[in-house]
Amino acid sequence: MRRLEDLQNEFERAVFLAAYHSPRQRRRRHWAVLGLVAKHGLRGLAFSWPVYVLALAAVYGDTSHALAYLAVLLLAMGVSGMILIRGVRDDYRVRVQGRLREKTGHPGV
Amino acid sequence: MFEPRPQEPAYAFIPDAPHPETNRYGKPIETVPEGHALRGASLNINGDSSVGTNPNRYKQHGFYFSADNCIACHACEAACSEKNNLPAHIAFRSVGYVEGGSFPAYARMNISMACNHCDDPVCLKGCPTLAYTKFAEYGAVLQDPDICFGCGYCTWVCPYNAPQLDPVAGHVSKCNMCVDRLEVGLKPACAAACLAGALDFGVIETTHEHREQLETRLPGFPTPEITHPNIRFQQAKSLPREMRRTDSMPLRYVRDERHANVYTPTVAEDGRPRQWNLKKLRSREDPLVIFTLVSQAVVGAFLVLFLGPLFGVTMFAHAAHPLLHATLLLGLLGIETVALVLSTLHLGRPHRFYRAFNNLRNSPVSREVAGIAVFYNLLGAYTLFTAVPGLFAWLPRSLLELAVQVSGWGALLAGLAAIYFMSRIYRIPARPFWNHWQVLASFFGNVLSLGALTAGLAYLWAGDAGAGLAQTLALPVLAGLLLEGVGLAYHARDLTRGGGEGAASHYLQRTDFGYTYWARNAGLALSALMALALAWLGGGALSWGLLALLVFGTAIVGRALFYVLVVPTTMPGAFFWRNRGFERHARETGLADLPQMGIVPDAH
Repeated sequence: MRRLEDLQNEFERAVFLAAYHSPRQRRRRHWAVLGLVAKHGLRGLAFSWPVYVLALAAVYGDTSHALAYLAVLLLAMGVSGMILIRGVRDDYRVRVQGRLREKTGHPGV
Repeated sequence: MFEPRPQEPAYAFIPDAPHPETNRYGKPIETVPEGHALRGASLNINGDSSVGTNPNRYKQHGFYFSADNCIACHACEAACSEKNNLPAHIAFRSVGYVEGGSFPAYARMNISMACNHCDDPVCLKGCPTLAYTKFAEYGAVLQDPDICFGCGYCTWVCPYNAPQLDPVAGHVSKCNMCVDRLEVGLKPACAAACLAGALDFGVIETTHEHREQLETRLPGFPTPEITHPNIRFQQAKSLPREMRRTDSMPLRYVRDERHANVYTPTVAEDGRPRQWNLKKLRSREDPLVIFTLVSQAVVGAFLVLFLGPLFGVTMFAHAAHPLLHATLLLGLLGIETVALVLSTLHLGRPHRFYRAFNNLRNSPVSREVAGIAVFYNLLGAYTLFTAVPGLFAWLPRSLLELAVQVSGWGALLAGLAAIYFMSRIYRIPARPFWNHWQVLASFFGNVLSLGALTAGLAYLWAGDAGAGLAQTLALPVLAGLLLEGVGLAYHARDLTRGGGEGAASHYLQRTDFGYTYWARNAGLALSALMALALAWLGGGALSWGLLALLVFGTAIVGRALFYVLVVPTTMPGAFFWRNRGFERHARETGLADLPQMGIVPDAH
């Protein structure tokens, strides 16, 4: 995968940037972001799913505790979201930004 | 490949000197034999795939430090920082000193120290992310900051303060032995920059020019038995019998009359007054205070709920109080979630939390995290099966019962294993205050006392408790408190007897935090008496609540003390540099706001 930072020649950089900003490359970057969100989201869910039991309990269980459950749930979801965004942003910076994506390319592990 | 300067002086190159087959610890100096698969591989430094030409590439290298020659000019520090482009608050190499005697017979011994690329690197074993590797090339222990997620455990286990946790970048980094320079036969930048011939570098166990000794001990240097460091000392000038540190650690080094070069760390009792210092109980490890206590309470409460019916306390069976049972389980899940969130956010890079599982083979941190993760997931499954059974109405009853049993027993075992590995995290030889079985006793004591109190609080407060619940649950509370108390008594005794950094921690415990320490002990004793009275006479929600308040308060203070009191076996700092007292002063006076002071907030 070609990277902008590896190119020293101005002409090559200009050609690279023209390709980088093309609709096809933009679309591929969007797909890569979706892939990264899915990867980090599913990995996060594998560890944090028990907290969503609280949502079920708030719906099905004793309503007097529903607010407390939902408060913890919202806190956990907020933190999960923050961790997800940081993970996606980090991976995007390392694996997607400033690179030309090939058709078979995937966002990586 | 690193390019030597056109007229590189001869002293910048690593001297070729004869060496024995094995080092003093019996380990071969040749890291991998001829023909080994690891030979001939590139280190890929900055993407360069070429292989270095150094003929001693596969021999363990190390530093040589002559304390007689060091004038504390800090040129080594400066060269290292420049070579590695380090910010002001990070130093892979630092110069500290110890001093002794009095004018005119004053003596000062300077120490320049970085990573010693040990034979038995405890940082490598402790790192949960596998960020460390001991390379066959030069025997260098290298750390990859991109893999590191900033838990800082390596900074706890290293006796030499080599790994540096960068709170701004959120990861650890350390001395890389300047392997790029070694590839072309040059010494590391620090050794090449030394003005006084104090710091040198080469294949380990070689005697260089102007050098006679190859000692492994120096006043202020931790015992080499912990990690087998690859550094050799020369210190031929006579020093006073007692050397003092100039940083704020209450330690001095007293010569062992049986061994000329061995100085034993001893408590420097300076008659400081007994104080409360409640504000100083706050530390960077506050999230760990909450995480450890909450996890112990949750595991304990689950233990009571799950095992209670098996021991004849039928009140804890789901069928007896379905709503309360489910509420308590969901509550446990909720507070464990908060604890896990806090422990994750404590990392420099929380979004890389999953790397904590990378080193299950060696790291107690990985094992603890795995134990807690399995416990949390199985607790979630158990809660789901018991608290919301309506979701599983489609399952045959026997299968649902089997799922409840499997998840319950699994959670129980995983929880106990997690608490055991949690205690193993603190069995660190470089931190003698923690390296005691009291940690295990305290953690399992808290499982019993906090767990039983939590379960009891829920049942007694809801008014659903039958007669005698307080009496029944007071027994595990009492057992937990006694276990912790006995551990603490032996801990204090062994620290005093053991001397060194452990005794220094205990000295701080009795002075700087003296009133807090005794208040905690009194709280523990009073709690045990209250638990005994409840076990004997029984009691209601109010008395149980009072006991819970006392026990939880005592536990929080005790755990905070546990983190702030530890005195590591790290190298002496200087009057300013690496001096906790100075850091505190700099923060109070605003000096720390100047970036050149190298002090950054203790946060990621």
